[in-house]
Amino acid sequence: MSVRKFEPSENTGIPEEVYDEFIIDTDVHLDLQMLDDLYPYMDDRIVDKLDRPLGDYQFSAIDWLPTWGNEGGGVGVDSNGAAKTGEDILEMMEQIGIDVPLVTPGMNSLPQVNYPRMKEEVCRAYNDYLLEKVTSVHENIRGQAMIPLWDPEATVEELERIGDEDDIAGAYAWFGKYWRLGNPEYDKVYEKLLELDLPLTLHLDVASYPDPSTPNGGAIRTWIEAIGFAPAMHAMMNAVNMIVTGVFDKYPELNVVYQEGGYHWLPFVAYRIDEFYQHTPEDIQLAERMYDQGKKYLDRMPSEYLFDNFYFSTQPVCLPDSNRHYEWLLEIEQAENTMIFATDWPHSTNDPPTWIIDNPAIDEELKDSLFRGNAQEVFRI
Amino acid sequence: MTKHTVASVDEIPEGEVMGVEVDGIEIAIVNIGGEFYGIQNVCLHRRQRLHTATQERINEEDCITEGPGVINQEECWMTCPGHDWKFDLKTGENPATGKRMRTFEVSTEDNEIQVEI
Ligand code: FES
Repeated sequence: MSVRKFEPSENTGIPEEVYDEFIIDTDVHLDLQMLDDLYPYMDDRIVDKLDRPLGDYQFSAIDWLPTWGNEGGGVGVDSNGAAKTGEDILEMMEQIGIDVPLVTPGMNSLPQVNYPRMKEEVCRAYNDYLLEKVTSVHENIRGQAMIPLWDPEATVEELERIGDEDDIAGAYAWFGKYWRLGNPEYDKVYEKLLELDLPLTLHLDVASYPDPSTPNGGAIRTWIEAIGFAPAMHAMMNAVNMIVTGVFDKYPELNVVYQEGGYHWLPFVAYRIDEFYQHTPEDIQLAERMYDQGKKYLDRMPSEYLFDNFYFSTQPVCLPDSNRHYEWLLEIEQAENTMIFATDWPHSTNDPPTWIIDNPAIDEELKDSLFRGNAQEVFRI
Repeated sequence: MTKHTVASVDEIPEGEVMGVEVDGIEIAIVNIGGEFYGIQNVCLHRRQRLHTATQERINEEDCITEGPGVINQEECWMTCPGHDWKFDLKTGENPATGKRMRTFEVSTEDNEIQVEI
């Protein structure tokens, strides 16, 4: 008989093979609670408002949290830790087996704050902090710059300021309430992103939960609805909006990365957008970008942009019970070209790389695409 | 069924968990108010290990919530540190789905914790 005892930090469920793989993790969050760490990088007028009792109330006025939805410690944003510096990220990399983390902010309530100048200042401060305290610690740690997507001019300004830093791999924003990304005012953002060779990353955020003042949002009762479906609706709508207003005809090289917006909806949207495009294509010419270019139709079938210009982070992976079904999904979703691995560490919904290793539906080639190939292609790494 | 000594009683304080492996079988031993419970250590969801539930996290002092997993002594359940699935330690059942983890008889004798396999 053999008996072995495990230390709490030993045998965590991450198999050895994970450490043999070169893994790029495209969504590793810094701590949610680091607003005051950014004060030294901010304008005093903003710090004066934030640094007082309840000064961050708009950042924490959140309609939906998993606090009542699980017994595992409530909000789940720091279930696996709270990273503030590059040293903390190095520790995370060692624990989970990550080689290149593309660090993302934890402040996913920023879009709901009512003062644009305050939000823009937080973006600037975060990006300075990221470059000084996080990415500078190790050459493998790269960051996604937080951009004020609610304002295209401010976004371009911030990208001009820090977008060409070597440690910036992407431009991070959120699904938001709905950014009207098909509107031509965003063209300048797309042009800047292309010039810098950066993808636009859109992540789930607090503002993409259903608005309780609307009949739709007022009807929901569960965290399942708030987190699981409302942001995915925004993701779908954003994608369709960008495609049918001709964003990718004008900017065929532009890439958009969806984080936590789901992706098993890909076949639904692909078949449906093509069906409707063929049935009713004649008002596309009225969208400003199409009209101004004198274009009548899209250059390609709409679903082709969905599979070519969009990338999808894998977390939460939502595996079907049947392996056969998973193989079909991966094939239909063109996973070898569209999916990129992400843990979403340290949130409670995080997926360590375990599910890819030894998954019979994932062969070596696909594993290569998921763990690194697609991320290398889309991010500036 | 054979009883295997896996640890001494004082190695696992109340509200704590220890992971052991007996002849290749991984078991999480949990101390609930002085009573010991054994449950399969490898989570049926994505194979994370239950014994890491009370592991200290990066910047633990800055974390606003409990985690990575939780042990509830009053109601005798714990959550997996992976994705918060809740397991009844007496039955191994996840109450929301009825999915079940294997449980093991655990007893104590002369300050030793013994698991029956
Ligand atoms: S691995 Fe246990 S809940 Fe996911």
